[in-house]
Amino acid sequence: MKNLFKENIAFSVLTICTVLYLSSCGKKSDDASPSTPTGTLQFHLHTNVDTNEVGDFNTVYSIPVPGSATARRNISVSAAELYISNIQLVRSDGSLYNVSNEIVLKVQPIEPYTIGNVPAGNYKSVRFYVGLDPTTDKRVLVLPADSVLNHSEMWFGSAATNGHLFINFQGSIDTTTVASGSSMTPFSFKLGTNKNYQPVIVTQSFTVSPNQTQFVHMIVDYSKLFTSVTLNNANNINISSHTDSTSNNAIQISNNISSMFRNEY
Amino acid sequence: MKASFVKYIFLVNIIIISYSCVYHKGDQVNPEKDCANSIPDTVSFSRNVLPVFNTYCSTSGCHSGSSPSGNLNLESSQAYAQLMKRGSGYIDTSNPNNSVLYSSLISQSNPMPLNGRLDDCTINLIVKWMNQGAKNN
Repeated sequence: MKNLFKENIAFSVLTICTVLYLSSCGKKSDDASPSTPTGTLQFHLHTNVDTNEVGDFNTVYSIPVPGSATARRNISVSAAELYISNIQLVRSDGSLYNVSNEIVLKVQPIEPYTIGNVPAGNYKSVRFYVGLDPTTDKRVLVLPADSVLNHSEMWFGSAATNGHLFINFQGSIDTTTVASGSSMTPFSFKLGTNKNYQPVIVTQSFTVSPNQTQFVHMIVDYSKLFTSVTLNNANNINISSHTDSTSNNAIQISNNISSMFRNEY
Repeated sequence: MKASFVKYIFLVNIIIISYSCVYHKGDQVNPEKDCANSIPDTVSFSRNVLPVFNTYCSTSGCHSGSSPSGNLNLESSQAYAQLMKRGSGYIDTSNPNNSVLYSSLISQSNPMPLNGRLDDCTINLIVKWMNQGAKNN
């Protein structure tokens, strides 16, 4: 009986010591704050035509000719801008985080764009639209001088209230069937209107750490816009007005927008 | 006898659980870490920073050659110009922690170099170089 009592005491002491040991275990650092920790998210966006990063405007690059393993088609770029809006982050568990009100005007020379402070954690993809939702597109407000919407080269006509270009891609491209390089013809893809408001999903795993900056690295490949476009018809490569933007040609081009974006890695 | 056996099984389980406890140290670079012996007062790009790139970054198949990873060539002849390319964001002398370079070095998800994070003193060396104006010295 006495031995049983001693055994119980010893067991109790051992259990208490173990529980104390367990309770001394550190907690994850991101559990330390009662509020949700955040980090800064930025997009790092390269402007490409195929594998060529567009360094200077009017430099001649070459892009693949569909259906040919070796032929390349010459292209030069004189404008490459687009709007990114309605950004959502997809957490690793599939839930969504909406980045409110951030609109990016991606221009060729600038690569980093601050998206905002977002909850720390693991994410598996980003979603966004190329273009502007109908309300933002024709917002009747006096735009601040530094607003990304206040760029006249991204307007149809002379006012933002006419609507914005969602993509402004211009340059010259060889329109010969065999890509001989003998006919560099100007092209203009000024796409806007709600018909060309296109969703994009880019799968890229990334972790936002508290109080740190995390970049999502993407390549914007404008050459994808030419997919399935018959080049030797001038109407197909000149989309310049609000009316043009609603044409079937324009919609065919804008259907290529989702394939423009890919991981840098 | 049976009661003792159950108690000891219970105790063993608790010990096993206690060993599964993990403490996450996080991945912040410790700026207070004593790097006095490894970081000079004035950081030189050619003497201090470039050797890091040569060893860890501009290796074959990475940031080298005609098609470097991320279109960023960090070989000796090109590294400075590429890093300082206007609008690229690789370097930020006013806020180095906001630069693409620093973010890549400490990233949990896409860390550079791919084969393992640099030690804190080396990262602090690069940050100090940026803080000193990222000169081509």
